[in-house]
Amino acid sequence: MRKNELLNAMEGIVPELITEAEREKPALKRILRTVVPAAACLCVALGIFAVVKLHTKSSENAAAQQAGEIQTMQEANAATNGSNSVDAQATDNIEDERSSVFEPIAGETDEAKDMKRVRTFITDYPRRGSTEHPLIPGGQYALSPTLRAAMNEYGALDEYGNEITYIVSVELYEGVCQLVPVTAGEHFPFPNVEEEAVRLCNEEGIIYEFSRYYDGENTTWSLRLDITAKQLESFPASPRYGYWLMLASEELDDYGRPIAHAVFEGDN
Amino acid sequence: MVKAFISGRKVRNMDDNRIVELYLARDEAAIAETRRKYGSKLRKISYALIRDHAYAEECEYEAYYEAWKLIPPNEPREYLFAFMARIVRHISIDRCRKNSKTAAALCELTEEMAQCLPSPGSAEDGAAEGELAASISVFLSACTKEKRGIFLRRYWFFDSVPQIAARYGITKSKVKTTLFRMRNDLKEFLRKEGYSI
Repeated sequence: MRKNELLNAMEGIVPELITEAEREKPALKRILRTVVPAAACLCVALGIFAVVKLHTKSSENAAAQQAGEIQTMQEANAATNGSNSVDAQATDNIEDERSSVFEPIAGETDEAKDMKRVRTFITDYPRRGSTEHPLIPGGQYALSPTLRAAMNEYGALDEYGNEITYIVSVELYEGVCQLVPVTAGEHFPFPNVEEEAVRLCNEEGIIYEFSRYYDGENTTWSLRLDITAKQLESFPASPRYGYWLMLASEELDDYGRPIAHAVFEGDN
Repeated sequence: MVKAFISGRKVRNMDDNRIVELYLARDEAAIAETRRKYGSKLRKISYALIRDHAYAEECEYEAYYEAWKLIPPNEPREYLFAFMARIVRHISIDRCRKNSKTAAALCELTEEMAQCLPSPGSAEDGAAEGELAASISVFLSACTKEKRGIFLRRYWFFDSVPQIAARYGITKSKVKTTLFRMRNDLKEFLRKEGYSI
């Protein structure tokens, strides 16, 4: 056989082998064999990363939610237990005191939950870092001299021109602290405050409530403002319009009542 | 095919069996369908050996003519491509031998294949050549798919070593090594089959 006849002889190879050699794409298969496992590994890694990240986020949310629930429960307990003893509520942190007074009661509607703050217009100046504690619902308090003096600026004198002795009682109504000043006069002791409060409430859309109760001897006036957290943020921050914490000190008046005063809580 | 892609629609190639039916019915559409389906591959085989586009195209057309003459009596319903490729390969080798300018690639392949040649005179008639082809088929069937593919791409389709390396995603040196070992294995196999080297 001559050399070049071998090439001719190869023509007689089984056609199936020729067809197979023509159709196969080994490079593509080789690439797929390399790329597919790599892509699979990458997908698994990304999946694990996503799961870990999601798990971490959900854990953080759960922890935050749990912390919120614990805080709400503590506040509710503090508000409930506080009615038994005024002195037992002493605390150094004003933020905690504010929360314990103004946080909504669990089980409220969504609208009621927004109403977290009460704003009173009894003027005083901030005093922080003291041992005061929030006024306890149902308690009877005497006003501090500065608070009384601030009230007198609004002409809160009795019909004889004498300084009125105020007694403040506090009620808790649907999570909102209600300050009830008690006076012997027939007129609301803070006429300017009332006017200003009505104007402000109308502008801001704040729910307010003035009430007067006369028992034949004394007239009881009350002002209650329900201010949502959002309204509170947009509310002008000033000593006049800021929100106040009514706090009770450990001092007692001549009748043995804790002396109440107000602490301003605001940005200024 | 090119026109089909340019016009934005893909023309579905006809099944081999139907193309053969057209040949058997002496319908000239058979040639057009064959060209549409396998024309580029056939030209590629011819060009790999001749290295001239015009000659390769002539070989392709000649292959269609040969196929027109060979079908019938042949009916390559299951292996039309192999049938056509064998024709174009044969024509290309003949033309390459006649033209000294294009014989370089053929000489290279011949020299490589000479390593596993049986002794002169052992396959002088066509019957012996057929037996040799059958023996080579048996040898290739026993090889792995990759080795078989490399061998056929080199000595049947006339692909160059770099082309084979690119097709299989391997290095050129590996292709050369594989071919060298397969030639030696084929030589040994043919010796065992009774062909004297």
